[in-house]
Amino acid sequence: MIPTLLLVSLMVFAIMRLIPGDVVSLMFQDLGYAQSLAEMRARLGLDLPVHEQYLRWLGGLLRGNFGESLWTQRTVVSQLAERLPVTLELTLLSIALAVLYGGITGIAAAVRPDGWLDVTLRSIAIAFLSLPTFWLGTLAIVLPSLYLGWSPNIQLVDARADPLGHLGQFLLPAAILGTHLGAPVMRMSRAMMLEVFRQDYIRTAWAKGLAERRVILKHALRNAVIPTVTILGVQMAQALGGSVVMEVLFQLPGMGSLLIEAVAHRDFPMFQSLVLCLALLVMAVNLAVDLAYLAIDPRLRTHGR
Amino acid sequence: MPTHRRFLAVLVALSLVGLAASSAPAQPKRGGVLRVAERADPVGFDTLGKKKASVYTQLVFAYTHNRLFKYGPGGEIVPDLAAAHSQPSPTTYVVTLRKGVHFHNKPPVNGRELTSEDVKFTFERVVASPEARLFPTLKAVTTPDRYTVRFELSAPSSAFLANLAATTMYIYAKEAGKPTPDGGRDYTAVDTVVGTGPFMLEEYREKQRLVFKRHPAYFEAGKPYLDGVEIYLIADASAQLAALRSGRIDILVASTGQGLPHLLAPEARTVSGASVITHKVFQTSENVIGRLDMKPWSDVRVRRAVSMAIDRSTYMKVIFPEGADIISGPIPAASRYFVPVERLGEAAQSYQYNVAAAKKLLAEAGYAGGFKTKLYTTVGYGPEYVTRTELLKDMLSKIGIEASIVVQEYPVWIASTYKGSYEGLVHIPAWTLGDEDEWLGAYTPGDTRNHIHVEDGRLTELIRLARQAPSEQARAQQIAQFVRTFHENMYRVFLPLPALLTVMSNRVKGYVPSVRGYSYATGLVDVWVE
Repeated sequence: MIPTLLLVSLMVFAIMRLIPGDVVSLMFQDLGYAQSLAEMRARLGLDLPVHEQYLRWLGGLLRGNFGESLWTQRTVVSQLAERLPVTLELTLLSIALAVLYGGITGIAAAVRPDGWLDVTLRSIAIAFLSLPTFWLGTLAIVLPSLYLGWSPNIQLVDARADPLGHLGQFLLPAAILGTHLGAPVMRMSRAMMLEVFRQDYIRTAWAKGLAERRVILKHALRNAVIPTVTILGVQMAQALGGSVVMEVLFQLPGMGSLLIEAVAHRDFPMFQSLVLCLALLVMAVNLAVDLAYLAIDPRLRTHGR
Repeated sequence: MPTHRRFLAVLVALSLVGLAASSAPAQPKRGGVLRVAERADPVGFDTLGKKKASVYTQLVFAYTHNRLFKYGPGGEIVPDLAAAHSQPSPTTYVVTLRKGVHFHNKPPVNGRELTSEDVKFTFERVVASPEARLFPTLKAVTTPDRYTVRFELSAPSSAFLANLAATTMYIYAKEAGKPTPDGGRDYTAVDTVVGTGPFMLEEYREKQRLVFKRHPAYFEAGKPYLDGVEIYLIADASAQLAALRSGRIDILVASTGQGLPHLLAPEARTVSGASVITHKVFQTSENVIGRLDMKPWSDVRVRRAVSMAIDRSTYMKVIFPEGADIISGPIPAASRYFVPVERLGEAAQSYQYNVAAAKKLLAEAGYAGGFKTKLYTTVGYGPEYVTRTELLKDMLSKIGIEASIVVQEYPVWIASTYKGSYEGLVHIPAWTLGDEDEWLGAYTPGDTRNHIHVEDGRLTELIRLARQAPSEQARAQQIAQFVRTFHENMYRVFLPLPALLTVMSNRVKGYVPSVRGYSYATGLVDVWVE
């Protein structure tokens, strides 16, 4: 994990220096971040040798100093503290809905392969996979306003004051994102369940006369779920990307809109730290996925002994 | 009188009374909160800081602060904090302040009266800010008494009063700013927003909303009518319209020039219980340009050919269904100095769509078969802007100009093309929030906005004469001459400029759109809700 993090930090650091256009001149002359080109270079730390710039930045990160936004002059940490919970809430809710939707429909489809339910569920999953979330999100905003005179809340509902209202505000964007993310989960669950259904121990379970529910949930599901959990790690990265669009469409003040603004304003301290933070999140989820394997499959716990 | 005649007479009388009642202007009503949609957060709360103030910061100040002068709905300059003004000499302006103007009752200012010292302090900040560019000839600001401010200039400036009305020139209370180590004052924090304006900023939640409450001691008696204004920050245009449709907001003001709601016009017309107002704005213009110091744009015949290749009528029908002005420069269409095409004389011919004549001009310039070039554009002005570039490319291809579109990311566009560093053609907007003087200034050699690299001694001289014109009439003459010279040489190929839309709920009354869109909130003092 640490080598990956170092690699990501190097990449983020390099992107800033490889980006086209004279960034320093842009920031000084058009965005007015400093009084002179020299001051601008100094503020960005670009007046130092490259290796020193990188080490200083890395040193700051290790001390918890993520820097300060050039645009708002607020510390990155304070902005993150406000925005990260919103993004995490949306992302985790989307993933939860993706698991629920993908898992249940995947199992249901696998039980009667090529039956009408399987065909219908697979078609719906492909539709969710194909439809862009920004389009679905726009429709989810425009259509109810057209026909029902309703639109989503335009400001963040305080979770302490109105927990249900708060959850309701996240539900629609999370459902859109969740169905999109859940489609591959559904396909993977279905494929893995079918694979497991062909195994001898499942045939034995059927032969023993066990109930269908017990065969599916106790014997098949646990063995089929590992590859599905693996793709959840990848889906988490997608969910973080997708949340950018949903946050803008549904007026959710999360990290996505912060990232867009940081890129648009060439707010590099903010941009660098946000990307690094997102990378850290994705790595943490993948670590959690690896740990989940141990919980799901006891053989992995004894394998190394 | 027979009964039926008496009945008829009563009916007619009642109808007349009813008609009179319905045509009488509605009476303003006190109370209510107006909910407005805006696209983005203010960036700090200082219009005179070290960096240029964002337009969204300027918008906030239109609610909370006043200027010495302001723009009326038609762009005319009218007094704001000024009660009177005089010009004893071409280089001296004396402004008398209104008496009884109070700041918001917030610490540390605590509702004290505005005095000339506040104006002086504000101008000390102006000269140290990027806004100093508006007053290059300002020599001294003195305060002969509590309500009088005297401005001394080093040379006459016909745009001086207009620049006092610029949307950054709000008057600050010194003690509202936080002291800085260098002895200055810092106004970036939200609690420093203490002005004399009709509304007081009560709450700001980033990416969410700004809440304003009525200033009870506002100097215009009985105003504002509203108890408050809530601005909801909604970046997406569809979400804005949906919020209007569902009654979560009352008004969408097309003030930014970006993501123009004209594309939403047919949709906006379907919002039940809402009205759509079409209006002109002052700040923008769109053009096709090239560099005058490089071929082929250096040849006036090429520039005219490009202009004649543009079918402006089709362009307007396709792109701006809500209507547009045929051309939009070099002075904006909403300006009192604007010269419409029909008054351009011979130069008007270059604005006629004529492919054959355009090809002939190109042949005369040595480009009989046309030429290949790049056509720069950017996504920074929204996807619809690039759509317009694509239409232009098609039109240019009809006269043999094979343009390959280069779509640039906005920061790259600003750092290179917008600075005048490009080869080929550019689809570019021109915009400024300021007076006509700022528009003219863009054609001065060395100006950062001189994208076309024009160095025409006649234009420079006309700009100088307009700036130093002793009277409004003389200024108008110089600007008119500048406009004619510009069109004769077709330095920029001006494109149609769309009308903007304000979409608002019918409960909003008394709203008059301003050609100076960025200060529309100034007009909200006259608005009430039913």
